[in-house]
Amino acid sequence: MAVFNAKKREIECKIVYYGPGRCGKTTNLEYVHKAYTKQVSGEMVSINTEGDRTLFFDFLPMGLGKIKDCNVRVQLYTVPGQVKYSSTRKLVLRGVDGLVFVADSLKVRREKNMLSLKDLHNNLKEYGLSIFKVPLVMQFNKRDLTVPIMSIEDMANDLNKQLKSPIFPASAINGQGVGITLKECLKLTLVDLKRQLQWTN
Amino acid sequence: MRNNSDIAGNLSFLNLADVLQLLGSNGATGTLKLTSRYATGPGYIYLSKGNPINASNNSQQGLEALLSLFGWLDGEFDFTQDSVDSDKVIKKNRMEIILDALRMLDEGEIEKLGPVTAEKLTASAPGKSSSVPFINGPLVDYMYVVDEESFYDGEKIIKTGQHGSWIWAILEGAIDIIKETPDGPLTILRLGNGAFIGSLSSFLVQGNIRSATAVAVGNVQLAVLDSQRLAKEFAVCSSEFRNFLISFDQRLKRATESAVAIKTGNNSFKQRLSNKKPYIKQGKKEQRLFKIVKGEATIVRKSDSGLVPLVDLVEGDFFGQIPFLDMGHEPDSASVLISKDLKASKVDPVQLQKEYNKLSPTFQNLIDSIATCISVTSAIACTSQPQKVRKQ
Repeated sequence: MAVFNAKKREIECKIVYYGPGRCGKTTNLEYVHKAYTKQVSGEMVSINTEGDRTLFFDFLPMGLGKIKDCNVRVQLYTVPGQVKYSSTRKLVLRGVDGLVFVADSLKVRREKNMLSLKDLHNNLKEYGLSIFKVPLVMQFNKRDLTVPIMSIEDMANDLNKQLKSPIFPASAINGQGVGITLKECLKLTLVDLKRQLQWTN
Repeated sequence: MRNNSDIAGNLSFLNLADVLQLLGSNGATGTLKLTSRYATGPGYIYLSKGNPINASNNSQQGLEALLSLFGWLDGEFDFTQDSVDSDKVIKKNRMEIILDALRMLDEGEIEKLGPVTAEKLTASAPGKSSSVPFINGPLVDYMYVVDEESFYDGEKIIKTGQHGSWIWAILEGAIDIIKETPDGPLTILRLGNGAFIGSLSSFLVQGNIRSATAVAVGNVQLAVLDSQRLAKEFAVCSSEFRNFLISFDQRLKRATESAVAIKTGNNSFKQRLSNKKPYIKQGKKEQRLFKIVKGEATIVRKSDSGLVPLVDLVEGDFFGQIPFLDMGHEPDSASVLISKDLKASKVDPVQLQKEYNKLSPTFQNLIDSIATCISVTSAIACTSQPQKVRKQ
């Protein structure tokens, strides 16, 4: 759930990039940090966790309007998937407002994608959230590779049959599809926040 | 003590990562004080405009101290707004510190302090096995102190097998609790300021027999507690609650024996668990509390080194969820195995809670202190479990 800071007239919400190790979560965030310098506030925090890196920075989306006269500040995170990082995962996933699931298009990673999505489902459940309710966007990354990759249809069949989330093909290393994935996730998140606000008003 | 504080609370509810994020997003300037009964002294974090600039944790300073404080899973935090004149020693970004600290906590680089849960104490640090767990208590209430006594370094305060019914609280210094084993004396715990020496069975029979030896570490100042007053308090409790307390007190002794047996390697592991079947599984949300009417039970914890028997229970003992105690034997951190002939009756925990609430703070502290000792002793049992029985 987003945090309202009355002092700064700001709404702080949290978007988390989830996915199997080496799928390109970090590359996504690094690209956002580099390409949208005007909207990024503060430096990027990078923590080396086993098999992956955990990233964090603040993002001020422009042109998305205000909610109740408050600016929106977005915290972007990636999260380490390994079981042992439970404290980190708890901090990051608790109160998450929007999710980007980054899947790896490589054929050999097919099972890893499905396991990671299942993991996400279980982790969210642990913090009282439902994967069907949290705004979620899928990104099928590494479309640029020439080694055998899966077709978008096959991947959607594997991962998105029940979720029916928006899907974006991407090549995060070149920045392709990175912006539009984030934008869609922000949109869904804000729509969801507005819905929650009206609910309480 | 909280007169001037702007926000205070319990770390087990809002952990340090959450507190720092909250203070951070408010741009707070001031001092965050942390206290834990498992630590030798308080920890301090100095914040300027929401960012930590310096910290201290006993002998540690700066970033090192700040990171170590993330290991305090149980305790109190207390934030006071004031102008901080500390130098900016810590230059790292707030979120970087938080995320890094949590990573280190998960990787076992930061030592956890708190009531010991199923996740083990410091199994990650086999090199540290020689260090003895340290337990502190709350402030001693002088209403219950009848006298003060001093002991010098190395002096024996009580001896195993001696008769005596005094109960002490430690005002200053530390003492070692030592058990006699076939392989010679074994130091189990070190008690610090506010911890209690003595047991509840002092109220029962004349001439309680001491079950362990207590030796002063450095010079020690002890408060002799008014045992008569405590005994009177004990006497007016319902017989149900008294039985509960006696069983609880016995549990520490038996848990200690069990831990010593494991530590010295002569445990009758299989024998104790044979003929018993699981009744409550570790991690299960079981809110009920039972009293054993007939038969036996064993509290067992699943740890990295396999199943570890923590304590054997007999007729009159309790198992299940006790609302006001945290001794690591509750269903969320240990399983209960029962013998085939076990009969148990349900106990109303609300009634026990009511009686506990009626006790004086000193009596409550005494009970809490015993619970902490049980919890730590059980953790010792888990970390000393030898390799050969791990397969179970």
